[in-house]
Amino acid sequence: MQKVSGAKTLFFKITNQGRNYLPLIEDIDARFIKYIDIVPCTSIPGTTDDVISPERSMSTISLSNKANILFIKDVPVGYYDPILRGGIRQPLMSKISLQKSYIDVSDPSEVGKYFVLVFWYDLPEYSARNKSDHTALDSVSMQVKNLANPVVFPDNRAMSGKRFRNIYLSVSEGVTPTGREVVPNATYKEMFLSLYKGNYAVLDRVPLCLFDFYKQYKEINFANIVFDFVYSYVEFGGLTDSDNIGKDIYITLRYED
Amino acid sequence: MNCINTNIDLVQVSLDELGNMYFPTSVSFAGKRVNYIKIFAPYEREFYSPIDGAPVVVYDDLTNFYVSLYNDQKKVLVKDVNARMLSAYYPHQIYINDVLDLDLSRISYIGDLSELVKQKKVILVYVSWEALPLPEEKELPTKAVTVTIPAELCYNKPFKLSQIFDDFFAGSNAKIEAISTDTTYSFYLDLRMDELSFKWMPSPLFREYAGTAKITPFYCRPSTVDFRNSYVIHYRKEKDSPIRITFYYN
Repeated sequence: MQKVSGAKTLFFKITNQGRNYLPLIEDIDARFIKYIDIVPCTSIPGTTDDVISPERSMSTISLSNKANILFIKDVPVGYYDPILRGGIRQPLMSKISLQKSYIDVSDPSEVGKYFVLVFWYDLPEYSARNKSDHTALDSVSMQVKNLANPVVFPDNRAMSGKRFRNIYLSVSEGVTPTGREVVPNATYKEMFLSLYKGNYAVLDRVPLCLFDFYKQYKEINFANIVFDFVYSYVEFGGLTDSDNIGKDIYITLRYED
Repeated sequence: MNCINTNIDLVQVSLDELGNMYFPTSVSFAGKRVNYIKIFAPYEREFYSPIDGAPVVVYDDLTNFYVSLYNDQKKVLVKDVNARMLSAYYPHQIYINDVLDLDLSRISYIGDLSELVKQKKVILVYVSWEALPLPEEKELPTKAVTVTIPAELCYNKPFKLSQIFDDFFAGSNAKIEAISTDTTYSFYLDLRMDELSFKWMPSPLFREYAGTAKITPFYCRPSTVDFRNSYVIHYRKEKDSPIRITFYYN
C-alpha cells in the first residue's frame, strides 16, 4: 500500500434493493482516491442500526470516475474488506464521481442497514516527505469515561508537533502502563478515530480495527501526517457494551524523530 | 526480516518483582548499532531456555510486559510498547537502527509479577546488530536443501546437525544465504557459521509464516556452515512431526 495522508469515512445506509447511489461529499469528490475500504464494523456512532459485514454480503460495488466510466464494476464488496484480505488493497488512483457510483444490493435483509466505507487519499497540506530515516515509537493511554462522549487524546508534550508515520493497536488484553484494563480488540470494530489539525479532520472517523496489524500482511503507512492531540479523539458505536467504561484505549504511534 | 542478518545475540533477562528489568551491560552489542530486537515468548505453554534450562516467559504471560528503549543520547526509540508487538510472532518488523543505552532501556511489567518470579521464569530477547541493508531486488538463491530431524532425537537435548547431514556441502564452497522452516512448533537452532554469530535462534525468527502473515525470508550474510558444531533442540513433550530446516545457498 502506498503512503496515504488523509481519510474520510462514509456511513452509507442502504435504502432499497438494487442500486444505492453514493451521496455527494465534497471533500471526497474533489480528492484523488488511492484506496477504498469497506470495513466490517459491528456498530457505528449515532445509531443502533446494524452494519453489514462485507464478507457475508452478496452486494457489489461499482465506482465511476469523472469521465463517467465505471472503472470498478460489480465487484463484490468483500474484495474491499482489508481485514478479510490481510491489509492487501487494490489501488484505485482516481477521482470518483460519487453520485454515479453505487452499491448494488440483492439481499432484502440488508435494507435499512449500513456499509462503512473509508476513502484514503493524499492531503499534501497535512503531510510531507521523509526528512529523516530515524523514527521513534511512543504510546498514549486514554480512559473511557462514558460511551456517549468522544475520548479525547491526552495532551502529550513529547509528541507535540511531530510528524506521524504509523498508528498501531498493540494491546488487546491485559493492562496498560496506567494499570487499567485495556479495551478488548473485539471492540475495535465499534471505535472510530478522528485526528484533527485545527478544525480540519485529517483522518475522519476511521475504524480503529484497521490499525490492528497482527493478522495483516500490510500496514497502513502515513506520509508524515500532522495533527493536534487536543482536538483528536476516539468515539464509539451506538451498540458498544458499557463494560468498556473505565478501560483504556491504548494507541502506539510512530513518528519521525 | 528486511535486512541481511550478521549477528544475533540471545540475552536472557531474569524477572524482578519490582517490575523493571534491564539488559545486562556485558553484552556483545553494547555500543553497536542494533537493528531490531525480538522477544521469543513461544505459544507453547511450557518452554525452556537453551542457555540454562530456565523456564521462559511464554506468549500467554507476555500481555502486561512493556518495552522502552533509549539510544546512547538518551533519546526515545521505543516507549511503552507492548511486548507482543516485539514478539517473534508479530508479522511486522520494528526497526531500531541505533545504539542502545543499556542503563535506561528496560522491560517493565504492569501488575503483580510474583507468580512468574516464583516460577523463576526468564525473558528471552534476541538482538540483531550490525545487519546489512536488504537490497530491494534481493531474491532467494537458486539452490536449496532441507534437513529433516526426527523430533524425538532433539527433544530436551541438543542434537548435532552433522549426525544426519554430514557430507552434503563437504568439499564445496557453498555459502548459505537464507534459512527457513515450515515446522509449526518452536525449536532452537544454534548455527556455527564462519564469522557470523547466530546462537540458539528460535524457529519463529526464520519461519516463513507468522500467524497468517507471510514474512520476508531470514537472510544472512553468505557464509559456510559448520554442521559439526551446529545444533537443534526443542522442548515439546508431545510426539510431533519432524523438524525441517531449509538452507538456501549458491
